[in-house]
Amino acid sequence: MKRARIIFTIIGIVASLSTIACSNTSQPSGEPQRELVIYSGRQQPLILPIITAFEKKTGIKVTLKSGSSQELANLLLEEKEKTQADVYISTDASLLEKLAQANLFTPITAQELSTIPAEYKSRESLWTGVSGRVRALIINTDLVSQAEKPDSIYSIVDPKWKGKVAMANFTNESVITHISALRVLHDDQFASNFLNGIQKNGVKVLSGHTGVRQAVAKGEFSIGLVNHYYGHLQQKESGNIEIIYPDQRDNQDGAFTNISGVGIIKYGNSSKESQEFVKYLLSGEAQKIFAELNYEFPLQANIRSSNTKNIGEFKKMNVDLHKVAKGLDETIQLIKGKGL
Amino acid sequence: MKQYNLLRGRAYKFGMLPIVSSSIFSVLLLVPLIGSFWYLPAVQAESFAYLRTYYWYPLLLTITLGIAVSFSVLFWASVAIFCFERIQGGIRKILLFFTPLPLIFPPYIGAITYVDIFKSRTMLSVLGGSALMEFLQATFVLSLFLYPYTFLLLFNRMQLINPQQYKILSLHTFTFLEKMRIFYIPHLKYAVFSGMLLAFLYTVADFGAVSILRMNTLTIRIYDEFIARFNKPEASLVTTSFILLFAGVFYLSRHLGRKSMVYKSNEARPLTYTPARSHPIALAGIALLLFLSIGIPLMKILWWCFLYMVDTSPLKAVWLTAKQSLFWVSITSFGIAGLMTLIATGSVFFFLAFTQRKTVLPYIPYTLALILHTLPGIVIVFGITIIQQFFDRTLLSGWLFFLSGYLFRYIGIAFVTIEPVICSISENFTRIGKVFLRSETSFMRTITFPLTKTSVMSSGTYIFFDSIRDLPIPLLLMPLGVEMLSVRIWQTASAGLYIYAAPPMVILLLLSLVPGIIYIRSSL
Repeated sequence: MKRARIIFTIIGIVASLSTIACSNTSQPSGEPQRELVIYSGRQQPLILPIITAFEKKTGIKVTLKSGSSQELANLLLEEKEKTQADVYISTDASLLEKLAQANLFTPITAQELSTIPAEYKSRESLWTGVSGRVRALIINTDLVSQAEKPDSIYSIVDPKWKGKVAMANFTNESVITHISALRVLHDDQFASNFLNGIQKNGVKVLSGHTGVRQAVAKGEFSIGLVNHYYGHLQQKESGNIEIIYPDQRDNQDGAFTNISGVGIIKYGNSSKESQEFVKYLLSGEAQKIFAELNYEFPLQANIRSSNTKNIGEFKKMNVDLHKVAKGLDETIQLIKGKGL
Repeated sequence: MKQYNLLRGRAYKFGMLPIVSSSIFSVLLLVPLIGSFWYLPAVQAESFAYLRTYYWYPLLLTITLGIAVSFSVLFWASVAIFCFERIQGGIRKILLFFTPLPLIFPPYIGAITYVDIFKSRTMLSVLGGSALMEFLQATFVLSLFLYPYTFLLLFNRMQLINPQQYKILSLHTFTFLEKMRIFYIPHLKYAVFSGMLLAFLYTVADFGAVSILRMNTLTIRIYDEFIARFNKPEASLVTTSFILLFAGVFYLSRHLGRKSMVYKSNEARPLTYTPARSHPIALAGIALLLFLSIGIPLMKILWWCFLYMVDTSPLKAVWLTAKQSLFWVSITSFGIAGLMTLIATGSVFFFLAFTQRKTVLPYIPYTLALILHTLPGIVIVFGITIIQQFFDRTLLSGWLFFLSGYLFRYIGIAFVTIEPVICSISENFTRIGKVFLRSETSFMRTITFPLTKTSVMSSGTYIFFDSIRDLPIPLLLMPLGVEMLSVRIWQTASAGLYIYAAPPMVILLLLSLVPGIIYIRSSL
């Protein structure tokens, strides 16, 4: 009995102390700590270097809450004015626009916003892109020769590649937004036919882009439809992957370009700190970190990345991201209607 | 002071306490279930059509995978038992320590270590396509890390068999099938069914391993429906179906579990019959099983740790930053699991110690808690989102909400471990205690706790062991601001960054090693 008591007491003390330690956010003394709560749809390890650098530079303490971009956007829509978030970071423009339409953002005042191209930021300055990503094809060079390599995303519905293509599932925000872009660029019927083609051609839908890149590298599939940086990540691991920026010819659509972006929550408690954070994200220092670590391209024309294609070096799909975002719910219905 | 009706020969206390505490417990435990049903009225007619059309495949896959894994688990457990019957001496004791040890590996860690090993272009994938290959891989991996549960059940049951019967069996020249028919099946049938059902439930409720192994089961669909599309009515429909399915399976498993339950009475003697010498094939069989279930995962993790140390890529810089937070993530995991152990075990112990038995009241929360424990974590989290709406958004409420998710999931373990022991306290103790002891508290302190402390300890150990590695609850509740080791591992591995998932894997395995071993030892 004595031993049991001792063990339970030890567990209790350690558990309580560690819980208190983890939840303690107050400053012991002196002036009040400047704080910022960020809801981040980016993977925590990939955003941590930027946050650490920001904390060092400004002295503002950041509380980071990570999850998927959709999950956090939905959380913000539920929480509304009760939220404790000050800033929302998303890996998709549509979700930012959706929250802007729900009147959850306050305008960004950072001067650096003017350096971001108009198509990658909100017209009302309610959100801005921070870095760019392209929907691209990756091919396994052991299985696909240079002569037969595809040059369009529509190749994935070509019977020639039946059963040889993989893509991420249709709950992934990048995939949904891409289909939404096709609806805007062409029409519903076009997008519907494309989805039919995907089903008919036996395109394998995997749980995420990582699964796609790994499966293509292993030779399970010849082609994968991913965001371009997944190709770069896989190239680091295996030498048999080539990235294709699709639809680059004159008569083709161009590659669909999406962004990772940020918005400041209207109901947050630290608007000054939030503005400082966005300003930092748009600075050259942060843009470089994004490009070097994540293989995404900087959105500012004067900042160049050495490890991926930069803005202006490929043909983009000419589509308005605001319109794409507005049609998001209809796109989801279209996708669901196909059972995807 | 309470009055006791000794004249009627029932030394149980009367009063409001059992009613009030049972009611509070029941209402609390009903929250996740009500939450799951909450959005049902909003379900549209099209949703039924949609689910009918497109959910049959995940449903079929989930059930088929569950059945395949339960049979595979039985196979591995039988191999282990079959080999043990042919091993003797010191080596037997050593192997008995190691054979259930794969229990330490959560299935998602097992899946992570194996997914990299599987080669795609095998004969099977050519013959049956990648879907069949993936199914077989998933069955193999899940069964490899779930078999200890069935092994422990079977081994325990076999310990109750009289050694004389083994001797008689060995003296006759029965064929293998005859031995199975007249000896093994009659003795072990309930333990076998119970073990298989356990494996089935674990598989159907699994989230981490199946997602790594690309199995699009129902838990994954709920996750997608809930997280990506935020479609609460349809998610509600699926979770409700899940609850009904699990309630049925739960009833069956309880029924079988009771029949196969092992109470070590005086008549039960440990298995002492061993062969004259260890059979080399039996030794090789166990060695192969241990190599597959412990050797390969460990080698893989250590290899990744080595690669992590020598890594010089730009990502290493990122992970050096992440490493700083890994310490706090580990402390958080330990803290949450420790608190959960104390809260779940303590509350159930006090509840049962002070409430009246032989009435239906305590059995309502008891049954609810057990159903909640069998349900997938993802269903529970969906259920409790309903209370999220009433919370303000402070860090403290986030923590409380986070803990409540765990509590609903793990309180069932405390009930199932402590309740039978408290019930087995003789009525005479109660009567004598009421006469000689001054209060209920002193009765609890001097009689109930000393008699039940072993089961309280095992309950606490298992809750700690299981909650520190749980994945769906911390993953879905991560936006509340609490990160656990399991989430760090799953997210990193899902991004294909295995070498960065290795350090948290090592920490998690170390943290769960001691409670895991204690749990295994107490089960043997």
